Amino acid sequence: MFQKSDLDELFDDLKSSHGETEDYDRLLKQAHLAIALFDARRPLDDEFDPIVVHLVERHRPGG
Amino acid sequence: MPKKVHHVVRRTGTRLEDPIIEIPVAEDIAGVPGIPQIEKDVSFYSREYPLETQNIEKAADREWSWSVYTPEVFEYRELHEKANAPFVKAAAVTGEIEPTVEPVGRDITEDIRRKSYELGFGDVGFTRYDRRYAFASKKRWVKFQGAICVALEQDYAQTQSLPSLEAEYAHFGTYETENKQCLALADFIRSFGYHAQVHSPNDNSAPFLPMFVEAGMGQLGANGQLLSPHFGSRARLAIITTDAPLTYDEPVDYGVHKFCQECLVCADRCPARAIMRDKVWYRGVEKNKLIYDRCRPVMSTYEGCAVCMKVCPIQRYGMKPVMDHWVEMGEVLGKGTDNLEGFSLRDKGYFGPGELPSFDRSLFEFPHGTKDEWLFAQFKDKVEDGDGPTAEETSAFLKELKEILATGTTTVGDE
Repeated sequence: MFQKSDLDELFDDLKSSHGETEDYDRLLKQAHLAIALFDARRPLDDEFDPIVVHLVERHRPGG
Repeated sequence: MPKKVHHVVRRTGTRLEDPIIEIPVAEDIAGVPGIPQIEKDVSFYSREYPLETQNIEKAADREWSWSVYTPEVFEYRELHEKANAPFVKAAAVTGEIEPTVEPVGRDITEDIRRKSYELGFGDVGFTRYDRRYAFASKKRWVKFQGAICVALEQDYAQTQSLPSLEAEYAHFGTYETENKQCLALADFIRSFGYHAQVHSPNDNSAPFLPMFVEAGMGQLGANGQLLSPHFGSRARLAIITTDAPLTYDEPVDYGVHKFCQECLVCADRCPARAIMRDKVWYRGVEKNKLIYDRCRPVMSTYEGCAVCMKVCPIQRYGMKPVMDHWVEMGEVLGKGTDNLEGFSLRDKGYFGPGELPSFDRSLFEFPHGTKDEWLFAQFKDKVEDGDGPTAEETSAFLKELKEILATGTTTVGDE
């Protein structure tokens, strides 16, 4: 399960890479949902942006 | 094993071009469309104990709130009030404005719906203005029967930073935008030859939420907020009433009423412990009643708090993913995780699932009632205390009472 430190790193990463883009809100929403699904041990479907999938992969606990 | 689906709610998106979203409502959380209520009780309480705006009824603590803001919040609130005031004033007299053309003589519901989305509202619904909810001070102000309910989503990223000054920018900034959009929508309605009265979200004529529920735009959450299928509680609400011919929407059962009892993350995470876990019947409606006296001081002191909004899974993830997950897994999406439940409070630190801050008892000692009621209460304490008030204290009391009476009351403010 994502702990606070994992979450801080993931969201800092997202903000520094996409915080100034028009996509930020959409990506942030998706990131929150992707984390929730990961924490619930469920797969991410094709509708998730690859940016979000990579973020979760990079910062996931024990990853 | 997936749960059995009782029904599927189909709603348009937040823009005209968006696809329809389909929300499954599991059999175990299916309830009634809208909210369980006893009509005769709602009518009785409305008639015998009409509601009043908190801007009057709770004026003492509203004024006190400014004394516990951080300097940054104080400064921003002053700027907001100044920027917003002209629009709130303009809204107050919109009911007097006559249309300049003859009525087109047809139902203009769809014209208004399209225009609402064009203006940027994320959802719009139509219902009869329910005068039973009108504030005592506003009952005569409301002129027209058709109610157009408009919801404006506030910024997602800023909202997730709650409680913070940044989130307050989203909160109050959304009101500023919404007031302008409502005035524009009212102009649009008048161009069809009908009257349009703007009920500003900063000078409410009533609690708007019951009418949004009646218009099928969501259901009342355990956190006391409208849970919209599109943005959960992350929206600011306003109403425009009109004499234009409209087709009213119907209330919807999104499963929220029972789902909230399965979730209760807002009640568990409320720093002030202000949300009741059990539903009660209040003024003819079944709801999780909020305890104002616990909520208010924490909300005022900690940048608007609103942890109950932040930790609502429907706000955070959207209603469809949450209801999909409930059907497929029988779990509340995000419950028990740091991602959903974690929050930080200034000077208190971070609180993960199962952790809550503690507060000094003095935080909850604040003025109650109207300003004159509070003044009388303080003076009564002096009368009862030993030798009674001094001549100077009595004189000061009378001076302050005169000032309060001369100033009068205002309905303007955030509800």
